[in-house]
Amino acid sequence: MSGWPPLLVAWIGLLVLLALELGSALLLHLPATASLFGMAQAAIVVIAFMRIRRGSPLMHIFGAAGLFWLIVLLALGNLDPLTRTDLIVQTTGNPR
Amino acid sequence: MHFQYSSAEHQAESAMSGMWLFLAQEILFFGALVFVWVYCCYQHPAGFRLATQHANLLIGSINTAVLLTSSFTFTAGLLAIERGEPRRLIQACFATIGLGVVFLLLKGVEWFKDVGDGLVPGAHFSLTGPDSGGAQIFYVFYYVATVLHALHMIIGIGLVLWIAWRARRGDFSRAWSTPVEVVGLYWSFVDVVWLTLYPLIYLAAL
Amino acid sequence: MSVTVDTPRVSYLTEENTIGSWLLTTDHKRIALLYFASITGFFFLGGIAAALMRINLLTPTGAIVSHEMYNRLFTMHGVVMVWFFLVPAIPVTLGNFIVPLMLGARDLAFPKLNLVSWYLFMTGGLFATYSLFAGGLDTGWTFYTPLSTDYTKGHVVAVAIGIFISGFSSIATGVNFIVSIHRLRAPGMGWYRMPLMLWSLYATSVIYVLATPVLAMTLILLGFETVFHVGIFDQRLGGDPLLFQHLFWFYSHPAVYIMILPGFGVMSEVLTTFSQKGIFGYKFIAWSSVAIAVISFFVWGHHMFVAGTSVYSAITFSLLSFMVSVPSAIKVFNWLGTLHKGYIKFDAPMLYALGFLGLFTIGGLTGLFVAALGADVHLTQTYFVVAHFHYIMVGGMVSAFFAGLHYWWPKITGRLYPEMWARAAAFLIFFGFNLTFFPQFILGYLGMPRRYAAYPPEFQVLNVLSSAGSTILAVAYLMPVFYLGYSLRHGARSPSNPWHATGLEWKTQSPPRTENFPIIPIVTEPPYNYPRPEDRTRAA
Ligand SMILES: [Cu+2]
Repeated sequence: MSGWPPLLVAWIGLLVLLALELGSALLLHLPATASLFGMAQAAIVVIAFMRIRRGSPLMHIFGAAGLFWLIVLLALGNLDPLTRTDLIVQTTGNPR
Repeated sequence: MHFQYSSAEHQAESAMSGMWLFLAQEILFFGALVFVWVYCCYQHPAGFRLATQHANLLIGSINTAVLLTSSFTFTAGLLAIERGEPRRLIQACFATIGLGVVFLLLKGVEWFKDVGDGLVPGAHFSLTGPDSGGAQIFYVFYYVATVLHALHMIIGIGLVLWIAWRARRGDFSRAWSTPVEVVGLYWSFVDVVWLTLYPLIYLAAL
Repeated sequence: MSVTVDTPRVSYLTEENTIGSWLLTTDHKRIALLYFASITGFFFLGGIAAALMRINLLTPTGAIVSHEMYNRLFTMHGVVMVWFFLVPAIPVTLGNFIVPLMLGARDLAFPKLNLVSWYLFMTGGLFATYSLFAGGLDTGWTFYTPLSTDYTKGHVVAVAIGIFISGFSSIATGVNFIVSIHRLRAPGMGWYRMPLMLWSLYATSVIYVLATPVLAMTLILLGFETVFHVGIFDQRLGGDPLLFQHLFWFYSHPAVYIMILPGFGVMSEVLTTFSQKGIFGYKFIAWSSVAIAVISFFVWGHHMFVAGTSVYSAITFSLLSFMVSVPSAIKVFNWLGTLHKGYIKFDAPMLYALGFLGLFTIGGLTGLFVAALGADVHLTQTYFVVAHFHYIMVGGMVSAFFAGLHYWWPKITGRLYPEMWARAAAFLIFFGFNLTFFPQFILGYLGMPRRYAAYPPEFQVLNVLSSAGSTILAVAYLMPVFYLGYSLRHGARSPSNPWHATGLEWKTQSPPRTENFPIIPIVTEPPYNYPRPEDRTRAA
């Protein structure tokens, strides 16, 4: 993949996704989908601008390792708050 | 070429690998913030919703478009030098720097407005009521995340400036442009970080 | 020894000897020596704090220092020992020196980054040390909120900044090692032809690179809250202090394996050399290092069993914690298999290594006790935990450090150390260590909590025993400073391979030249290619 056309397509695609992200959250009232659009955009940047497909297997491993450990952090870290039963959260006003 | 490498290509690919590994580290660095967001949003859905409603969606969205475009321009510069056009690379660098500066200026305006609206966690926080605590936690996340991202932008602008300077000096050619590629990885990654933060700050908790 | 001693006059030590040539060097061997100097300083600083604590615990009411001072002492001991000695220790000193030599390379992949990492380490270290002296800190090395953010008067932010900066030196070292091991192996050196030291340093580097950034972010959030008195962990806002502990232990449990994995690597090298026998179960040992690096990220919740995490989370983390002990046990059994029918020689590095085997096994097994949910409720926050991790960190890791230091000393300096003194020190360390820390298992089981300056009188006998052991340990740790220092000038010149070991580092001169190898070697055989025992008997 080289040359201008794919790059332009990627850029336009990114802006379209941004518009869709806003539309989905504001017009369709589906704010939870916003992060999905963000991930799609990130994937396009990684493919088109960071040219991951041209990278060596080693670079793929490094990137994948970062993602894998991020998932570990998110999954095991949130296991605790998501399954707590005796949590009493007091959201009060200003502290001081 | 350093004496531990067998060829320039060997060294170039090692530099690229090193950058990718550094970026894996960055994933975990900002990933910790994403974890904080998910954890706290689950505990304070109403507070996060209240806070998100007061975030400056307009500036945030413009900034997203600006940043996406800056990644596009820098990659265009990389393509140019790979075709042996250093002048085009220099132009692309300055376009990238310009967009980066626009992003930072807009970010500054946004912070200024936030502070003016009393969106500063602490005793004088302007969002009161039962959800104030959660909203303040959101704004702690917001300031830490945006300031750290802005610092990465400033470093990135410095790096792009360095690339432009070296390009002017005639360091890069069709045959060799590794630093351009490495800096491009960094710049686009900072973009990816913003693409992750943007929905979390402005949309996801609405 | 039939090897002719022809000590080369030109080496990396003699090449150029201005101050600038040392402080601005990009030679991995010289950077290793810079790190050696720094690490030794931090080790004795942390050691002095520990000695003062042990003296204070001679009497139930505290013998010498005030309770506030005691809190500062154990904080200084923890912070300095963890971040400025144990975490960097083996990788940045022995690792820095030996990785390119083992790879058959001329330097690490990024020599300038390597130098930068030393400056980051020194900046962070001096910053943190200065803050610990000027006003001090009394939160313990764990900085738990809200104690650290709201109640303590200590320099939380300054120490956090010091650790933050030195964290980036860890990341730099990790990136350097991983890329070097991938990219700079000599021709013919496949993954399974690498010495096991490289496998374990690779695994360590994975943790360096992927865990340290989370610590960095945690410290930023902690600093924010301490400075502005409002933050993510603030319960007055409904924030969750347990979130801090999750973030902190996401780094700090894998960091335990940062501390011990390099020791595993040293063990594989030393045990094979001094039993003149190939390693037993090479692939198992290699992959268990990788398994440890991965699984160590899955277990951090075991530090929070009694902190109020959910039952499901606690059970999950307890089971996963049992899992991480499996690869460590695999290593121990394989090392024992290596010793079996070996031609064992009890030189000093071997004595240290055997000490490691015993102490690490005790430390590892007692880890299973505290990984079990039920037992941990009783044992947590007691001296049992203190004894458990000191058996691993000090008994295991520091013994391995000394094993490696003595083993590669001839390569690093070109001199042989005094063997009898070194053996005596190895014995004394083993004895002093056990006398210091075994009583603490009992104290903890009986219920003495950690981090207290005073204790009920019935605990005094065991405390005095422990303090007595610590004086022996202190003397034993000082001995190498003298005899190794002596050998620098007066030791016999070492041949290139004094131990008849395999491995590329022994195929070049001692001490090596700056470029390590005049010609890049070509690897044609597996590592640890010693004659098989059955072949030896036949020959005899
Ligand atoms: Cu642990």
